Amino acid sequence: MNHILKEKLMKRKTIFIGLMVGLLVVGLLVPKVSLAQEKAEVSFWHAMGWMDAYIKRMAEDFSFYYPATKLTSLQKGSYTETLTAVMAAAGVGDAPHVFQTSEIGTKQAYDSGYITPFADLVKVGEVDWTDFLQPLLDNATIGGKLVSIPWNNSSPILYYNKNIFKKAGLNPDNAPTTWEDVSSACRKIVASGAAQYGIVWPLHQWWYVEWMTEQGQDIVNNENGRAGTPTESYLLSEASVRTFEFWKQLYDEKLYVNPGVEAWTESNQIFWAQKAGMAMESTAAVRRFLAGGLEGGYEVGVSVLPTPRGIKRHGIMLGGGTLFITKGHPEEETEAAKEFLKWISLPEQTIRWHKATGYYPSRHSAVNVLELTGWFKQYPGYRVAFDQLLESEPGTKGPLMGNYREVTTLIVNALEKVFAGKLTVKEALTEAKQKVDKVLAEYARIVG
Amino acid sequence: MQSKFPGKVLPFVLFLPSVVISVLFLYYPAFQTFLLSFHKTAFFGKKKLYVGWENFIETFTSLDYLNTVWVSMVFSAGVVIFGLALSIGTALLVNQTIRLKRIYVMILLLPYALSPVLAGIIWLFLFSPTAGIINYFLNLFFGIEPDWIGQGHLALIMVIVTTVWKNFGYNLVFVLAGLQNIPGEVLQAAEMDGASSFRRLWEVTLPLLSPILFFLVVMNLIYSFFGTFGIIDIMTKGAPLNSTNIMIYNLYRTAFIYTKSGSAATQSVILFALVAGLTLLQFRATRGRVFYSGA
Repeated sequence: MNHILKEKLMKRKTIFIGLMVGLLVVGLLVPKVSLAQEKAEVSFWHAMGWMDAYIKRMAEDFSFYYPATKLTSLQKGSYTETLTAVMAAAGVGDAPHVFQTSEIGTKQAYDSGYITPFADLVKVGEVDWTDFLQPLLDNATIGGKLVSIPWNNSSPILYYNKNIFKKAGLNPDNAPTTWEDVSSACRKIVASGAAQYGIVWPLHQWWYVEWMTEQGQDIVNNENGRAGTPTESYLLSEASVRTFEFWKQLYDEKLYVNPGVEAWTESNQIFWAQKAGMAMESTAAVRRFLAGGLEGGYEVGVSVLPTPRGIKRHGIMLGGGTLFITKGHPEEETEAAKEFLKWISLPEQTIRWHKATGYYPSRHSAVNVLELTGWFKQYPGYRVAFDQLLESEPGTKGPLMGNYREVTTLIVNALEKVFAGKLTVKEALTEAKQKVDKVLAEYARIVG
Repeated sequence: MQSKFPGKVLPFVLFLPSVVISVLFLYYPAFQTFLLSFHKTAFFGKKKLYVGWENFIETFTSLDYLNTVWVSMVFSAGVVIFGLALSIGTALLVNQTIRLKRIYVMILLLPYALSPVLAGIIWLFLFSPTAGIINYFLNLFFGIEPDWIGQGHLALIMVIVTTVWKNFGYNLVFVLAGLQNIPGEVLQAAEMDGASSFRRLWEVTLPLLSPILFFLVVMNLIYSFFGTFGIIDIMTKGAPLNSTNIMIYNLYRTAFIYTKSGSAATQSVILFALVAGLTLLQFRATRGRVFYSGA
């Protein structure tokens, strides 16, 4: 082959390779071209790991009844992980249409500007709001406007082992409802040898927040964050100190065993193994506790969250999550997402969801059906949960904080230091208040 | 032998993908992180507030953060010292001509192939204060049942043990290779000159191993600072009370749980500077003590 031909060939090779490389780079960088879809695609991100299969079936169900929509669900991890994933996705314009978050994310979701409040999407008269349980709606309301739809709300309750109660000489039909009664019941249980510990529950901020709410004490200023971004905390209030003291006293007397920070499973297992006479958990765990009792051969009783004697009960803060719709989607997709949220709140859906999980059904009509079909006779534990909820004072509950997790981690750290004997309650709360106030001020400064 | 590329464009064309990927996934994000460290953010970066050096000042004066640095130092020291001591010891034993040598080596290398999650779960189970086998034997022989998860210093020991076990295979392979590169005659000569086995180890083997050891110290340091996130997350999540909260875990928590990307970027820059500094220090300190053969 002569010299000129060789050069030509090499040039061609170079161009060819260059083209291939170019195509490869372009192919990787150009976003996927979506083919014309007839169906509106709606994506739903949730944090319910153990209900993932059910939710997938539910998504298929919805898509069946609303054939113009294709609903896909994706389990994203814990509440925190889901919220972070949503923020990250929304930041690049790829947010899911619907996502679930608990109270730890409500204010952040609202402040972020990534969501459309549900009330803005719904026309007057489109939904019969009077049928909804008011506390659930209040929980999803900021500044008088409903921002999300309640879906899986729960509250804290006390579970107790009736057999252990009998062994300890306690009345199995009468669970303690005040802190003082809990302490004396624990002492009897441990002294009689009926169980190694009197009571167990996870070292989780939820209980601190619930007890502050029950005692009617705001955790942060600006009406607990509901009238504006909070800048100061009330960690040194009487109610706060009282809560810490109670928890510490049970721990010091070895009536309470610390299963670990956020250790729900470990805590429950201690109760199920009959190592503790009482446990505190969510209403969403009623089924599991009753099943545990059946397996372990003991009867399980359910009662309200114990509160300090002499202090008026103000009511519980709802745990669990609500569903938000995000901004920035084409109109037919947002409409479909709205229809999904309306559908999920229909009595038949909310009854099925309650029966499967134990979370509150969101409507009165659903509660009536459950009553009429004898559900509460079969599971009187749920009746207790309901009554506790409906007896709560009206009005929104629980703090609204942008950096909920950071604040509550600092509170739990303070409690851990108290348990370890490193600081007294007052010292720990003083230190925590200093740090928390700083954190609150920082968020307020950034968000403005 | 020098080969010439036909044409002048081809090399650059072939070079391009690596450059593009490096820039997109390494240099650009690093640059962004550096910029971000001067801001405070919310909503995972949507809202940014320029604060100059404030993040850095806050971080350096935060007792909690300084605790994190201390914990990381202790953790890394443990991982490097115990990891290397164990691998050198084991390598010396395994390097002899024994039956089933290959099988032993293979078994010893297996944990390296495990994912950190599995390693964490396995050791969490073994160390479980109530259900673990370690406490079972400790109780049997010594009558004690330490609370590995609830006590700060014990939890730190637990994660160090897990990390050393997990990385053992890596260290072993390199030390073995290093040992096998030591010419037998040198050791024989030392033996004939009347050196005890300890002297042989200390004055012949280890110096000849020093390039490998130096390499391993650097790699183990980097691993203990950057690669142990998985183990901490699975086993302790920084608990109890931040006693196992190493810098990389604190960074993760700040970035992904508190969604404070600005503060996390600051920590990232500090961590990078720390490890780079440590590595540089290492090069300086061992200059003249590491014997590279052949030059």
